Amino acid sequence: MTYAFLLVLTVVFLFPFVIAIATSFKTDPNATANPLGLRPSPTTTAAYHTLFHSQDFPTWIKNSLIVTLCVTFVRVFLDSLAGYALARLRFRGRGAAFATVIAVMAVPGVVLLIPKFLIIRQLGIYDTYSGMIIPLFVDAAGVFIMKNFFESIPVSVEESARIDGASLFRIFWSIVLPMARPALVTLFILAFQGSWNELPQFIVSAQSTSLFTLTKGVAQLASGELGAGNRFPLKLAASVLMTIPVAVLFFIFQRRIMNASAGAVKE
Amino acid sequence: MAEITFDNVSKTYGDGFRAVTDFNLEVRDGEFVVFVGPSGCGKTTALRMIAGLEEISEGEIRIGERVVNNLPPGDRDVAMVFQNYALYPHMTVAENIGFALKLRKVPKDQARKRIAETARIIGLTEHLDRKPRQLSGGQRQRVAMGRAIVREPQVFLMDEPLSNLDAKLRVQMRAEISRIQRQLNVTTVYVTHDQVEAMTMGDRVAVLRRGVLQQFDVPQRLYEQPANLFVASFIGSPAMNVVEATLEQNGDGASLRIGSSTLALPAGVLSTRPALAGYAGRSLAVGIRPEALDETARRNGDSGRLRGVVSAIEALGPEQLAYVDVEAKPVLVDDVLEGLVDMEEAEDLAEIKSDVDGDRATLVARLDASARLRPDETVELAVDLGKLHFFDLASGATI
Repeated sequence: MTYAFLLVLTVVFLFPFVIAIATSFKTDPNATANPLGLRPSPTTTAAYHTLFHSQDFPTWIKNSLIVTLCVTFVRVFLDSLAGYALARLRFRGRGAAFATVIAVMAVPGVVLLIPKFLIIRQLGIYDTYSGMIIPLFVDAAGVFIMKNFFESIPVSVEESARIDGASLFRIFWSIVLPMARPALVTLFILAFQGSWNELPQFIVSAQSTSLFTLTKGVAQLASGELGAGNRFPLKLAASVLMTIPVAVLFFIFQRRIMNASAGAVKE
Repeated sequence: MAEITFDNVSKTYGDGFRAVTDFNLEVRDGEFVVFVGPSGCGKTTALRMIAGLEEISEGEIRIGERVVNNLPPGDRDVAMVFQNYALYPHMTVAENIGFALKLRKVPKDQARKRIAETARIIGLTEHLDRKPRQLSGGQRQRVAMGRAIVREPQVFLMDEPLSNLDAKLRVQMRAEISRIQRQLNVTTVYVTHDQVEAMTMGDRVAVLRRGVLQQFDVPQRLYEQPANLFVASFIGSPAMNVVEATLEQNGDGASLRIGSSTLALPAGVLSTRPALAGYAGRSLAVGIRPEALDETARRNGDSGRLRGVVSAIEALGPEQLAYVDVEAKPVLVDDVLEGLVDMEEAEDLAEIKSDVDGDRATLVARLDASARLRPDETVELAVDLGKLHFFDLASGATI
């Protein structure tokens, strides 16, 4: 019974993705005539050819990669630093700082779009990579995840390093971060996925077509000026290609989400 | 030279809780000193103050000639072994041991030699490339020891390092730690709540209670001449039997009335304790070690008699413990109970007291394996009067 239920759920979740893949290999007439068909007739890679040759798709990929990689690495680092500070350092206003982080998590992102736009304009970084990237460097959820994880690391391990003569940053870098690998991998995937799929931030921070990311480009394909006609294969081919990096990343890292502190202390 | 000196040291936490009060003690160079006491007595706090992991509220701690109050842990030249090992899980055994050397920028070939030598001392040469999770509990504890040894510090600090090991391994590691400490001759402070560990390992033992040092002496003297009722009850396994008695003066001599029994005290007891005469006609607490009780047939010389009913016998192989209910009022002051029971586990002192029949006390006697006592049998126990301990009931101090 459980397996039957899980099977139904699996089909429900996978079906849209399978349709997307199938449709991306269809011709326009075939896709329009039979949008839910799982077998392309005829099978063609025309949509992919069109994407790479007649659109700005390579530029979108490049922009997405630049933004995503910058955001992911810096966010993982800064969220970890902030999480560690909130978890371990005793300083005035620590409670208030953490309450603010929680409060930020409670605010819907869309509420902040206009203020973000105004600030980005004011700082003179509108329509630049900086404007697209910098506001994404830190996220409250990441700080929250890292703080909670650091609190689960036995204090005695850090105290041991202090007695060994390690500085605070050395303890963070050489002892705590390696022990936080499961949380770091989780945060890395979330940050990568979040910034790869980010759209509103790029809408308010840039307008040049040369700064289009995949999300912005695909959105344009679907509904913007490029969206004339159905062109399902083209749109879904772009969607499929956009999904691949995140899926690959997840499959690579899922095996690394494991307990990294085993053996540190007697449980 | 690395003596450790506590000079009027106190520790008060932010919420006002005083963990250590006016602590004065000197650990000699190369000495193995054990801090022992029940949970919450301040022993770990005192150790962590030496390490620099707790701030010192008042007083001064010196290592050698240096006052270390404001030195960060890494600059104190101490190494610490934690109760839960606190190994670096992502590093191999060799990396764990060598981490402190790396921080001190010890040249690599020299570090390699020291790691190899340390591994030899702790018997882990074959396991240098393993990660902590691939080691047994005992091996992990050895790595923790190795990490301390390789530093060649002035002081070893050990915070209940054996409490996570099973009983057999604990005994084995106890001997191992003592051997390594003797071999390296490094000043060592060792914290434990296990008085057997304290007695077997320490050159001297400091007994703490509620943040106050009760007695600091060599193990045998703690056992034979406890400073107060708490130390008397805490040190020794099985614990000392403590019952209430009345001292009666008869001419030049004196006797003790315990329940309906009267024990005539030999002259030597009074002459070695002049203050005892002041208790004539008053109640006091009398301590009887289990080995000061015996079958009457085996005891000659100065001995009194206590009559009771055997409630249980525990055969331990070379000896047996007999639990004998006698007519006597047990002493249930906090000094005794805190020495006997882990207060963190005990619900309430009042509850413990109410569970006890006020007119009957159960005495534990350590008897030879050949003793022929049976449960429910009425017996007479001989009391070695020369080995009695006397305490003031109000203050708990030894008379």
